[in-house]
Amino acid sequence: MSEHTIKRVVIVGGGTAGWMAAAALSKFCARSEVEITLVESQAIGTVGVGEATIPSIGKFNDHLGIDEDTFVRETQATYKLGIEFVDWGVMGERYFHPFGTYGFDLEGIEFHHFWTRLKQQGDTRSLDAYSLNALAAYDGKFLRPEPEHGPIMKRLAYAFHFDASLYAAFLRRMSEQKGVTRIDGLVGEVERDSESGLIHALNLQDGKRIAGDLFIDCTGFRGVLIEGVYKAGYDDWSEWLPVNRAVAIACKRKGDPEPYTRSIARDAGWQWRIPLQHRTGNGFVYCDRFKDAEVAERELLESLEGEALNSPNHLRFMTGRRKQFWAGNCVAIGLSSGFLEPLESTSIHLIQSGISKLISLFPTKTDAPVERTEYNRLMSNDFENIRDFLILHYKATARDDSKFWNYVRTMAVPDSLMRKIDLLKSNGRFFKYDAELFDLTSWLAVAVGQGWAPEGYNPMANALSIENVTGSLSNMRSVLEKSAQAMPTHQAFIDRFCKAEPANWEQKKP
Amino acid sequence: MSSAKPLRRIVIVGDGMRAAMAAAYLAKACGRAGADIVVMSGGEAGKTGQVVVRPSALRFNAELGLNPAELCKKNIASPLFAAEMPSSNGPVTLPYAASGVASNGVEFHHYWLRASQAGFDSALHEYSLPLTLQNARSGIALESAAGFKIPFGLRIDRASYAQLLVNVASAAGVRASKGKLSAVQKLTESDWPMRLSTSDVEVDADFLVDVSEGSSAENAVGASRSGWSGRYLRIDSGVDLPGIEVFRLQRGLTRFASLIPGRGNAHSDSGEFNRIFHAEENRITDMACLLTADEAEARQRPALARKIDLFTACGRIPSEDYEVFQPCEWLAALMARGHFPERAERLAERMPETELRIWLESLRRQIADLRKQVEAA
Ligand SMILES: Cc1cc2nc3c(=O)[nH]c(=O)nc-3n(C[C@H](O)[C@H](O)[C@H](O)COP(=O)(O)OP(=O)(O)OC[C@H]3O[C@@H](n4cnc5c(N)ncnc54)[C@H](O)[C@@H]3O)c2cc1C
Repeated sequence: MSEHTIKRVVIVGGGTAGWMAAAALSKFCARSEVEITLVESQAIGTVGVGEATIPSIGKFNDHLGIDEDTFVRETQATYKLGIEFVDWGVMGERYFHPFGTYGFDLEGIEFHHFWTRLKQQGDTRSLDAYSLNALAAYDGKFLRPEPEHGPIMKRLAYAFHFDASLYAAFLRRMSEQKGVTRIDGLVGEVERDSESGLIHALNLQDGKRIAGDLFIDCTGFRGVLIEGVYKAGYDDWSEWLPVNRAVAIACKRKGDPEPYTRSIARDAGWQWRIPLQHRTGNGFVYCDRFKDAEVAERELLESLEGEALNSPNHLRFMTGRRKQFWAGNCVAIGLSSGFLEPLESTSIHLIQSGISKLISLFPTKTDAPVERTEYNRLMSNDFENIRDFLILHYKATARDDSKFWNYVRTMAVPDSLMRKIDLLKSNGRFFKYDAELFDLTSWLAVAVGQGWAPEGYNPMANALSIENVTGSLSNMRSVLEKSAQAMPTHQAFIDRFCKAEPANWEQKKP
Repeated sequence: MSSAKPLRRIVIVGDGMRAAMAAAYLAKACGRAGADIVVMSGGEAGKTGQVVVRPSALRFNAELGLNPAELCKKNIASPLFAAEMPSSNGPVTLPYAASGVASNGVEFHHYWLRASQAGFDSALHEYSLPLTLQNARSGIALESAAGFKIPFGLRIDRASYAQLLVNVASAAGVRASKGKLSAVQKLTESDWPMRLSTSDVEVDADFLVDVSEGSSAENAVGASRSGWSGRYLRIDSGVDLPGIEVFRLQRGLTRFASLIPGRGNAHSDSGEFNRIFHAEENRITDMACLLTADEAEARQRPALARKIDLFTACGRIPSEDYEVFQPCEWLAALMARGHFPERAERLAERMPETELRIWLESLRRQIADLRKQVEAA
């Protein structure tokens, strides 16, 4: 058996996934004499989308020692406090899914039980009034919380919108400085051990041979190694998440950038709007059973707030995940490992999660069955937990104005989701699994926002007098409102700390 | 809305510390919302001796106004930094906090392992703060625990603990009714859903919580397993490992209180309660099995087999949903049962070897100094 120590890591793919992996591995393997090579093909290019993130990205950058202001400047980034959903539950309604939490617990009982109690008494205030993120977002405000800002500001949780290609370029510079070798070439034939099936080397189409011990497949939807070589298989989740195409385009921005993503439900899918410093990213994600590509493109173009800055980028995908993320000596990270559609901006998080699991399980031997099994188990959990939360957005709707919405509204959903929905809808109960990404705030935001608010509440919330509850909630609102008011505008914050150079679009136009 | 109408009366069946825990907690948690709590005890003496309270239960005590320092001062309790568990190779000490300190996101035992493999000879317990404090006098131990911010549990006199809990319960208005439960009758034509009888009295109730040692209510209700079904919650003492009895009660009661049903829908959330309750039961059985069963039997349990395999391969301890024991306890148990990692996590290699040795030396010296101070005091 050709089972030996890992000295050479080969990353295939130079998109967001490939360069995130290269940057992290070059930092963490710095002293362990592991050589890292990244192969990418200019001929193929990257997927060219993926601009919105969730707060965990901040941790990833911190671990790499990246200064936040530099990162924001270099990637034309803006801050993101959450997502506004328009027309999802019913046409004409909108709600905000904030990062962070709602209100404050009282006497050990979660805040939302008191909110439901007041609601049953006729109070019509939305959950937004109790979210610092939502208040600041709708006010166009942002402030990076620092210890001296006190405990209320600490509740502001944030992520970024950024230009994915600039982020990859930024990480590439970092990685190359740390010794990562980059090779431009197209992977052709793959050499494998006849007995163990482990990959020995990649032959590039220009004749180069790249030998390695561990291979990281970051080749995007192609999955050149994980599927092309290992036939890992794919769990198709399109019965629950039926969107399978997207068309994306950037346009000039109108006004200051909002510190949030907007997601507008359409008749056969939904449309994103992501404000960056130099432009606005737009995309229409839809299901081709219910809409043609030309119509989708036309509708997207008609809805742009400003002049288009590039030509529309059409993409196809299938929601789901690889049956195995790590097979033989190949680990798939990024789109090659699966895709859950961009609704809650979880893809980059999953890249990050894959990288950190790989680092902590980093094998010594080429064949590492135990580490492999554990990695596959953990990543499956990650994908499944996120999947259920995404399905909730489609299932919890009253829309019946199109075939698409009729399908998703009436589809059967996984048991794991049903259980969560039942608990939340009946009495506002929520139990988070250890590895689960989205917490009570997220589930509550979407369920309440789309018309599935808890019908009852914890009877223990009756222990406080109604005057006491009314008073406490009113205090919470005023404290949060004052904090939001005191923040600078999002644009002012960027101007002061991290304004990017204006982009030169003439050079970029295809 | 009917679901939000609180339960009017909860009857607790059981004796001694177990019933007192349930009564005190439920009175605190649901009493304010108007529930009347009645304890039906058969008057059995219940167990005596000492009981172990895991660190996670201290919050439960705090909610009832029981402060560990005061309990120790009264000589009812002493702080506990590790629990001694029975195993097939004799007693095994499982510490409540890890040895050494984690560095750069890597747990300490990986550094220790890496150094050991490079010939730096030392035992993991030489870096253990909890094991050093285990033999210290109460006062010093509590002070040090606060200073080092390390978790601790309590070893507590069962009867005195029960009495303190009874005091809390009585102050919160709990009523006691002597007599062994003899029948549980489902009512259909009444405002109440059930009637509980002893030889002397009959009590109508919305809900029955059974914490008796022998399950007095089980026969009457016809339920067979620990857990929540309909208007009946049963929490048994579980696997006989130190700390587990109180852990099960504390977790069961607090979770029940967080899921507490309204009068109209007494069982809506029981499925979730049972799922978590039984997941925890499985984790406890995993530990018991690791300590006492042979490897073949341990391998029958998938989550345990995974722990053994991954630990042996790379020193990591995979965690499941709703773990009961902390990684440091699993680490001690796995090593005591002869499982050793073949290698440390690769990230531990980032520290240069000389730096690693100097760091370990200094940690070891600090612990040794502390031990001397503790012994001298
Ligand atoms: C419509 C849409 C919207 C999205 N929005 C978001 C979002 O808002 N937030 C978010 O987190 N994520 C989003 N994502 C996901 C996000 O775009 C990806 O997770 C991210 O870009 C990572 O992609 P990747 O690096 O895996 O693949 P790609 O960007 O596709 O990169 C693949 C790389 O592999 C190389 N390659 C392929 N084949 C070969 C070969 N044979 N030889 C050599 N090299 C090869 C290519 O050259 C390229 O460098 C979105 C995805 C889609 C489809």
